[in-house]
Amino acid sequence: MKNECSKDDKALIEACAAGDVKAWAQLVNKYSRLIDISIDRHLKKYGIEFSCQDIEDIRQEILSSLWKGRKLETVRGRRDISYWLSIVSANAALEYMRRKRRLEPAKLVGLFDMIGERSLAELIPSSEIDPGNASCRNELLKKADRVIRGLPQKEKLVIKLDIIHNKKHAEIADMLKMPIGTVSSYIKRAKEKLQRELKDFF
Amino acid sequence: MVGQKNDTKVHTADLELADYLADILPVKDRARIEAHVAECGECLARIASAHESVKEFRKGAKSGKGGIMNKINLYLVFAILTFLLSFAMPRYFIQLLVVTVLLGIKWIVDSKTTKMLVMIYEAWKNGSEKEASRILETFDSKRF
Repeated sequence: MKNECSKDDKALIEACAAGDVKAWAQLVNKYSRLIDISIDRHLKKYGIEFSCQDIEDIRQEILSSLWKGRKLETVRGRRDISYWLSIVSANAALEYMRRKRRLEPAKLVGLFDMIGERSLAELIPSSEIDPGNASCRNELLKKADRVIRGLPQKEKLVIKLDIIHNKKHAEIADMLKMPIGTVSSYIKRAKEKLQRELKDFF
Repeated sequence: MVGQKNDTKVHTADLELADYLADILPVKDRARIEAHVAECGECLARIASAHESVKEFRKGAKSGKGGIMNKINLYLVFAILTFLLSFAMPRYFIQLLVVTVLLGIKWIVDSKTTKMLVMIYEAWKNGSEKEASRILETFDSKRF
């Protein structure tokens, strides 16, 4: 996907690496919004609360690591650094929260626990689960996790993006560069299996 | 694969994940990364967030360049146009009026002011007055 955003990255990065302050200002101006969006999205994904000040601090840390830490050297020669910068921002956001002791290690391993209510309702008929019963929900999630672990690799990847990350079929197709029909059939197959296995749970 | 070590797990390097999303990796490397992210929740979360963030960033950059004639304002322009046409073409008065209403609703729903109101309402519903005023301040400073 090429657009205005990615047009001049190669020259801009070369100039920044050579210490051109003007080019650096241009890069900061171009990508500050992406850094903010990435921090916001990733922290929300983990259910971590944050303030505007946190975003500001994290952004400063990222920019400092790019300029003073010469991290931009890593992406020399790239025409588009959007995805890389977004991933770097997400890492920095989690690292910041870890340092501030606002992220328990359990949150990272327990991403599966953040499966949305919508996805859960799709897998289990509403009459069969009490939303207020946390232990029942946890047992159900453990079982669903086990079933997903046993799925073929592609199905596993696609179903995780669907039920944990709430991605639409078209988004998954775009992300994994797969035909949308294939994504839909993987999801259908995986959900049928999950429903079958989870039905025995009750 | 140059990986980074977090806790006890070795994760795929940022640049490789980024190249995967940008679709510039050979098929063999794509398959290796897919095999990793299918098992590693953290790396999957990283690429899922990056995909969403870059999409939102590019969408914003595009609509920002349109100025007054961006997509949302076009709804308003067409709504006014069809409203005026409804008087010029009495034969299609009702039809054009319906189109005006539909375009008007689309304009209201898509406008940033409405999105701001929805965000403030959600923050207020969740009991965070501080968060609601923060959103208001942010939008105010950007002169939406």
